[in-house]
Amino acid sequence: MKGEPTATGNAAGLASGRRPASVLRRAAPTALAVVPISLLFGVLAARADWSVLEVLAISLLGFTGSGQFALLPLAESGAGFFTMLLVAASINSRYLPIAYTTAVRLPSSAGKRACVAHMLGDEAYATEREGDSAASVGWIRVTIFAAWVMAGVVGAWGGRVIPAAWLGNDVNLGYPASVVLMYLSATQLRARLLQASQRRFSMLAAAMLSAGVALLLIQGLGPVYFWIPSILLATAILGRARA
Amino acid sequence: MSAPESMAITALFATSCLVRIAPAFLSLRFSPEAQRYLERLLPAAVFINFAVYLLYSEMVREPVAALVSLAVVGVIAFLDLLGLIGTAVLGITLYFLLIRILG
Repeated sequence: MKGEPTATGNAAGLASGRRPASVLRRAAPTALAVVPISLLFGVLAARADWSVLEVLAISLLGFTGSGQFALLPLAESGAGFFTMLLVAASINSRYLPIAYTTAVRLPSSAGKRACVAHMLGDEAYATEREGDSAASVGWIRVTIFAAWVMAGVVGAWGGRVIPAAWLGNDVNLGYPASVVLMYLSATQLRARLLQASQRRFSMLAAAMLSAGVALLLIQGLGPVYFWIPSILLATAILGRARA
Repeated sequence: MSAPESMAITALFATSCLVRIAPAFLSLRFSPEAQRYLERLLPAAVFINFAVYLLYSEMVREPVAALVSLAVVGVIAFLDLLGLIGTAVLGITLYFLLIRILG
């Protein structure tokens, strides 16, 4: 049943739990890649008069790059709670299927399960592997989460100290994270489309078609609302190719 | 803590409860076929959409540099030619180099 680790899963969990160093080595490059983005968020929040404590709170309780950046101007403009909730939920709706399918990897105790589920991010999802134990998943998510929170706080502090003229707008600080996420996505796709399938050509063709459909939807619906319909269509296309 | 900041923090936490924490406690029964879709095909669909979203959002800013750099990174990763650190360094260098060359 969902959420109840198997005996082999537990054994693997204990084995991996004794080797957190190897899991940390896996998560470290991704954690480093999110640092510039969170630094930037902290700086921008400080410029919008957010205190270091408020940046710490939003990084700990909010923990979503796009959501945090989106709500910053909304808070400044005095938007209401439900507007903010609607925007944040729309941007992060992609986590619904991700959270559901990764729930089997989470610890069974409710408190730990909720905490590790909250620390789910795109980068952690792409770093995790299907056979990872609950302990490994916990280490991966905590590492990336901690890097995000600390960088946000440092950014908020820096935003108050660094003169505004030093902060140029022409450097894309988020690019390293995009590169790392692209690498991890391609690696995950290789594992899922090529190794596990007999029908490699048709799966690759279906993946290309799904990418084309996603591109059309992102242009039609925008980068916030395309996620759920696009993921569902891609799943259906891949399913037909595999049948 | 002031009101708009508190509201933003509460909205993001409520979102996390809705989209990340609640699904982790859901226990739904699916047919073996639906389970296969959820465990195998849905994650692949998510990663395809990640890749397209990254390309799109970076190409809005720097079309050529982002397209070339991310395509190179994607191909290297898909063919398993280089590790994460090496590929990231290559991709980032290529991106900023192309921006400089193309002006």
